[in-house]
Amino acid sequence: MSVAAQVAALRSSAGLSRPTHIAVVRVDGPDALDFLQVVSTQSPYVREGRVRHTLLLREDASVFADAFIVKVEEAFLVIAEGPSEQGGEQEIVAWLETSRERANKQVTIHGTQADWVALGVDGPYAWEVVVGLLGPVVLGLPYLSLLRREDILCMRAGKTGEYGYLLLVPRASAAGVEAKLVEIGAPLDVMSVTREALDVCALESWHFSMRTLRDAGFASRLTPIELQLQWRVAYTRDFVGAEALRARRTEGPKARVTCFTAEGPIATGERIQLPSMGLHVGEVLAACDSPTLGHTVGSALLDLRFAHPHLTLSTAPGGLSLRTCTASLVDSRSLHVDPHKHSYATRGMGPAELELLAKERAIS
Amino acid sequence: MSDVPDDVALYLERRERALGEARRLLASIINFVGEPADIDPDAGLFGTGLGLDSLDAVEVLVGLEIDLGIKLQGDDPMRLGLRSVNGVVDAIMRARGEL
Repeated sequence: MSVAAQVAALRSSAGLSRPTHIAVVRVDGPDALDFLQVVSTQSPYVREGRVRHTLLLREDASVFADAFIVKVEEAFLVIAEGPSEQGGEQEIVAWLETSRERANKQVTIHGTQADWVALGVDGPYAWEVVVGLLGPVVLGLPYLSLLRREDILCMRAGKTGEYGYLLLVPRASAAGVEAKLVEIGAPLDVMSVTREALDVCALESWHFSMRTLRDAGFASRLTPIELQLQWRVAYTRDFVGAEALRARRTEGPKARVTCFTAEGPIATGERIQLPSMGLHVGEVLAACDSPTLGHTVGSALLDLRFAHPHLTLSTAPGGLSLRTCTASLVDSRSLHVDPHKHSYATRGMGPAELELLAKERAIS
Repeated sequence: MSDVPDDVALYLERRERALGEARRLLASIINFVGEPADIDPDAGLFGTGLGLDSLDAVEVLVGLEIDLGIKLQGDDPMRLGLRSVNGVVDAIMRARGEL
């Protein structure tokens, strides 16, 4: 199935995925919380049932991984996307082990790939699919929270701008659960989706994706300041990379990631200039054709004084014109879908029709 | 900014001013611990990002009116495009006829 069809499913119903690029690493031991304090840009302290969205940085403050931390009984899970597409669990475990040695903490760190499989469900009606699997308790699950249902962990997060759930399922029952999700999703026109389609949705909705750093080599040096991720940083805390990050903050950023649209394809790394003056102002970090919007969307690293929306720039003298924008570009359908009122079957119905239907259901 | 056209320079100057105003307003509403300049322009207002709730949303509308003299038509921040810091900046500039 084409990426456009997958994106359409993610924007109109739901998509099922096997996010094998996401590592789920278990951190156990008496110093588990202290250790995570050392590696996470935000306090990892979360009460059970809540999720912390944070970052793991290198010593130079560049972003190593986009991570969620959750507490499950006495252990913590670090659910992370690392810097490379294939590195996955080994990459995250190795990084945490290096940090553990430096921090001298008593913890055990191990990947869970052999035990669990991650399944993703994203889309404006993703909740309907997950309700079919885990029951109506899913309806009340707030953003960034965790539900444990028998042997399945369900985290509501998502990076598409739509409802998103990550299910951690025991490997032995994963095939059965996946088949069940497909069965539940069939009447909702749910489709299997790839990482590429999820990345397109993330860019359309201006959710940070590690793809932003992966596509452009120079981007691996960017810190949360240039990436506009300071809301995930507690400057008052000490963590790996904190010193370098504070120094960068004191010095003041020179550039900032900015959202843009263009009428034609643009390649990663292309230089961007102010057209009338030929002044170089930045580079393209990531770009893709947006099936939802019908044109190119992307992120660019622009000199700080030009890192604002509503500017017309270009890729080269006489090159393609691009326009910086206020993110996000997509009016996500999930913003207008209320799980307590709507369903995929009643999509497109107005308030009067929905009220009538509710009355009919109450009578029957 | 002699290396940029006058209209672009004027826009960027106004944008920076409105961004500073939006950051100060939002920092006061959420009791922001750091410097207002640490608030990223594309940070979301609700859910992720600054984590505003519905009461904070009302404060944003009231703050725009009282502190900056900007009255927006409507009371739903999402419908008014106030989804991110830059959304607030856009609203300020539109109200002033600068966008």
